[in-house]
Amino acid sequence: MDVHHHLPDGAVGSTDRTIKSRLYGVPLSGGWFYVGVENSFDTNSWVQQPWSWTSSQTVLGSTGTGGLQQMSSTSSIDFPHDPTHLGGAAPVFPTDLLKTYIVSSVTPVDLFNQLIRDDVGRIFKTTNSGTTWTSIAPVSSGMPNIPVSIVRFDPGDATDQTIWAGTDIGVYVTFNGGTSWERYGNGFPMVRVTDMSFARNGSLLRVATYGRGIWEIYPHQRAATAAGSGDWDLNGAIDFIDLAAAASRLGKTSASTAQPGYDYNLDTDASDSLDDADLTALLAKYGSTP
Amino acid sequence: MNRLIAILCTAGTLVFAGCSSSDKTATGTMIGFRITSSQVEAIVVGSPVTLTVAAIDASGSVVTAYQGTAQLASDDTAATVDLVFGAADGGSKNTQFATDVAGTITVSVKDKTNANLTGLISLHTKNGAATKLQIKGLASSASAGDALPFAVTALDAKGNAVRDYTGQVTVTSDDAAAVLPAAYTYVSADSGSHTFGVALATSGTRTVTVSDGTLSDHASVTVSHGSAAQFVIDQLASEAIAGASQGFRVTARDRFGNLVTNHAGPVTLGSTDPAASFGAPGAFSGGQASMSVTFATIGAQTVLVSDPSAGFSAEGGPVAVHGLVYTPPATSGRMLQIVADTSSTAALLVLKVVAAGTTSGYSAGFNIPADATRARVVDVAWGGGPLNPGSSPSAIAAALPGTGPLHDTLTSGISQKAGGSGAVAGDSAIVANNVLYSVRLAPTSASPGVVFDGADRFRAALRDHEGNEVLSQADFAVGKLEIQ
Repeated sequence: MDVHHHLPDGAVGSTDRTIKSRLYGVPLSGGWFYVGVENSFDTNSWVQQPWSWTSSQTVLGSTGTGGLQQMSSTSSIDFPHDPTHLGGAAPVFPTDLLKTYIVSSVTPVDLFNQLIRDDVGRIFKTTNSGTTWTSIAPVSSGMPNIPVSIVRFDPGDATDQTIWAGTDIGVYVTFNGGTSWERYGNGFPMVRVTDMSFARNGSLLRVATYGRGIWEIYPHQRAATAAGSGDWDLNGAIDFIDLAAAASRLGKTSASTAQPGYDYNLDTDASDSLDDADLTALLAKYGSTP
Repeated sequence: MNRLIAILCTAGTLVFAGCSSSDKTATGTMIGFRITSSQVEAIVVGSPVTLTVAAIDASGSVVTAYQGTAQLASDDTAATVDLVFGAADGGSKNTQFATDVAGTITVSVKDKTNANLTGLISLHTKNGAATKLQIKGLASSASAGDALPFAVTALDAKGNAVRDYTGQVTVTSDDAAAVLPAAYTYVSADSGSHTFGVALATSGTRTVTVSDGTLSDHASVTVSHGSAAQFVIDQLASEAIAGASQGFRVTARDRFGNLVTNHAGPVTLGSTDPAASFGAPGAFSGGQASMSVTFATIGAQTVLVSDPSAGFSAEGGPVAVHGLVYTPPATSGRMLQIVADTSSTAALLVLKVVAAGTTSGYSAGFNIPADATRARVVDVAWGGGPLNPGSSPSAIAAALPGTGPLHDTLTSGISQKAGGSGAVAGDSAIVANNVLYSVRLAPTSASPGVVFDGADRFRAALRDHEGNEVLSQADFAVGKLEIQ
């Protein structure tokens, strides 16, 4: 059971990117969720107001040939950077922030004791506060029909297309919003993942397993497939943090193992090598946008 | 009764004889002409008189038989009039004569075929009433301030001086700065003409006008400037930013304020700001030259422009000069402090990131909310401190953008490089008084106010090679930067 809070982009309702609110989601037995928004910790510009919980409907697997399947239990919930990335409504504070999210389930069977079908899976999204649900991880997408203990948007992917899933057989990831999934990382045992924790920019992922301890991996060490922006901390600006990150990683490639390692966000020419050319490109953008 | 008349009959013998009743009085040989006038004295110019021209013999008798052409002439004109005597004229002929000249006019006549037959008369004419005033002798061009004498003569309609003119003449000019004579009332001793003097002061074409209230005249004088006697400074803003070049204009003028278009300088420049610097003086063109000054000291400052040869000068300003003033952080004991270098000026502030104790690190930097309208980053320099940013490129940067995600943020940082030119593998030791790097800032506004205040929130860190924060915001001490 995962109680999760999320810091949405501060751009919502304000020109200031400073985070102004927290979103909370609580998976409940019986296949439903409570979600809430709280902004009392920072009253810089938004009106402070007490927050309260809102309940979703029970998660119902998307319609397939077999009809609806109601989840008997849920395991995790996460909110996107921007609900529109999932087809949700434009984020208007506060209630619309709570309409769009993804959830996972560990249930082996539905409330009617039927096995979860392959076309339903255990990861779903809603754009209407849980009134209706859509499966985003059917078996046809590459995700096995197995319990998913935890699902997370990649904090380093502002487009919300990268989603991580902790399953009973390791970590799965999609880079296209759930269209296709793949098992992630080499050397990881076939073990249940019970929790996941990311660095703020998504460059470090630590996972908790059932009986096999804590594992970590650096997702940004994979070779760049496109030119990196230089924005290592993904805060939308190039400053001294990015400068230090780049300079301390010069000479690294995706094959390097020593830390701090390669980060594709710093590979501005997608050469699979961090070098002076990348540093030069970063310096040219210093103080500006990535 | 017969008269006894001596008749010269034959040369050499004078015979007296009695005359008979058949004797007739007869004229002798014509010896010339006699001119008589209907008026001889005080003839008003232009008024005609009747001249009677008679052919006479030696006795003064009219030679009635004279038939010839007599040419009438006068010394006031080159024109002549032919008088054709016919038989009916009986040796005497009238003609009208008028002259435009006041004075004594001699009218003469002579036979056109016998130049020995002449005659003349003197006529005395006088001027008519004054119909105009005439300026004479006024120079057509002069320098400003020159004394310009000229005569004003009252003339009649024929241009003769009206010798008995007694009007009061006033001299005026369209040159408001001209020095003019007092009004003058003519006396008989002036004989209709009096000399005045003016001094024109304003360059250009100026008009001098004389008038007695009824009659007037005017003349133009092209007035040119005199030699330069003063400078005028303009186009110097009342507010200036220290370190920013401030243009101004110098105009050479004569003692009357006329633009001295041919002034060529040179000039010497000075200021109440001992740290002020000047651009190369611009060449004078048309009496004007562009100059520039860069103030460096906060306060009211002036510029001084002098002519080294003539010794005159002008002061421009005051100019309120504004610049950067940094107040060091009050917080003591923090490991990294941002302080101003002693070389700092109001125009160029050098902020140093200085260690107050011993530590180690790989990179450092800060993001301080700052007013980008009041200052700009000139450059950032390593300075040989413990964190070597390498080269090609050096991992050091600073910016104070006015737009974008870091708008109004003074951001700067330095890092050692793990690869490339000047690579450093690990953290470097930092000891007290080490300067990690420095940022030079220049003011961009003359509006007093705070650029940044270390009391506000800011982000700062000293990190190790792995990216761990060795020192964070709470370990930095930032002062207050203002435009004053």
